[in-house]
Amino acid sequence: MTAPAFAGPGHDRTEGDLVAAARSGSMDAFEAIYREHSPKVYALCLRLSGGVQADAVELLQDVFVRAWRGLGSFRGDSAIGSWLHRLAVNAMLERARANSRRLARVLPMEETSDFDAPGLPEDPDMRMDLESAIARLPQGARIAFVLHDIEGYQHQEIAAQLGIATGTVKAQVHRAHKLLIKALDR
Amino acid sequence: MNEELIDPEKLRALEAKVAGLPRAIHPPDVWNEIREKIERDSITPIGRSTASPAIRFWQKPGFMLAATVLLIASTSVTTMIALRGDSAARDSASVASARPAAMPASFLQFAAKENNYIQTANRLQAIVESEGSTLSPETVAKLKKSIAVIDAAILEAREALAADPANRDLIEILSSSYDKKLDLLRRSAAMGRS
Repeated sequence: MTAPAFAGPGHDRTEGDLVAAARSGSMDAFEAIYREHSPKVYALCLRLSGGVQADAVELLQDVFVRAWRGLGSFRGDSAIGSWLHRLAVNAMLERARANSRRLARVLPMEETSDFDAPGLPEDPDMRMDLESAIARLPQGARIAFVLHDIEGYQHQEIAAQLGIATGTVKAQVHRAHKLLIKALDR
Repeated sequence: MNEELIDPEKLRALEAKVAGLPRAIHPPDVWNEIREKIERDSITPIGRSTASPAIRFWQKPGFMLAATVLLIASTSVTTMIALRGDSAARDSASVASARPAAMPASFLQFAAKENNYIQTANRLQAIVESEGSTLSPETVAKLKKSIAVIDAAILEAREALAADPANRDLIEILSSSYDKKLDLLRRSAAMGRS
């Protein structure tokens, strides 16, 4: 395979140029977009997937396939990075639905345990790092926390994207804060 | 809901740690897999012509228009059922037409998507109008008429949904109508180029 024609030094085409070229069918331009944006999209995928790398990689692929398919609907009035982030969130939510987890069940306040994954460190000297603690949050709290605290979405934006009440988003973010502080205090 | 207060100092400390998290993490290189998937599925970005302009039977105007008439008929019937609130008939209609997996689950989700539908439809419509000269005037007229009928169905469902935003059947009907409109426009655009 040849190197992407748009990649590397000396290629100072703007993002708009790349999008326009990709939209007209240039796989090289699309690869350049992938190279530029995949680390940020992957970070989001990894956190939304609870730190499970295989799921995050699958989600990343799904996002860029969707992006290629939907380039025509990208209006260009927001950064393509933001658009890719929205695709990642949508893809993750669709996966959750496909797994027969209705959103209402993904995001309830009542969940059986504080953390999804077993194996919290018993040793009080062994402090849990933040990434691990986020990965172990219940799914609803994790999604709300990642989108709000890490990605910087407003409560209302998250609510609209997830199709739930703003109050539920706030409650989930609050819950995530409590659980993370508790985990990091251990 | 547990509204237990959080120690502001601890919250600030947490926020500081969050601010220090990396916003980018290099993934394993999956570009080849992505490219293969795109090529294997022959996925074409909306608005770009396919490499092979050959028209398949389902892309021919006659078939497309017949499908459109069927769509309109089924949309109108289903809208009527949803509006009438006839639960038995609605159940039977639901069985007859499976809900697509990506259907918006709520009005809020749909509202978030609707703008995209409209923008995409406008863009495709512009393509059809600019490339429509390669189609026969009769075909163009029929396409316009079909799109007008779908638009009327969309408007009808949209008004009903405004009055009853929790009605999931209406959300489904409206979402499906938009999908069908986009599909018709895409095919029209492809025909115009071929």
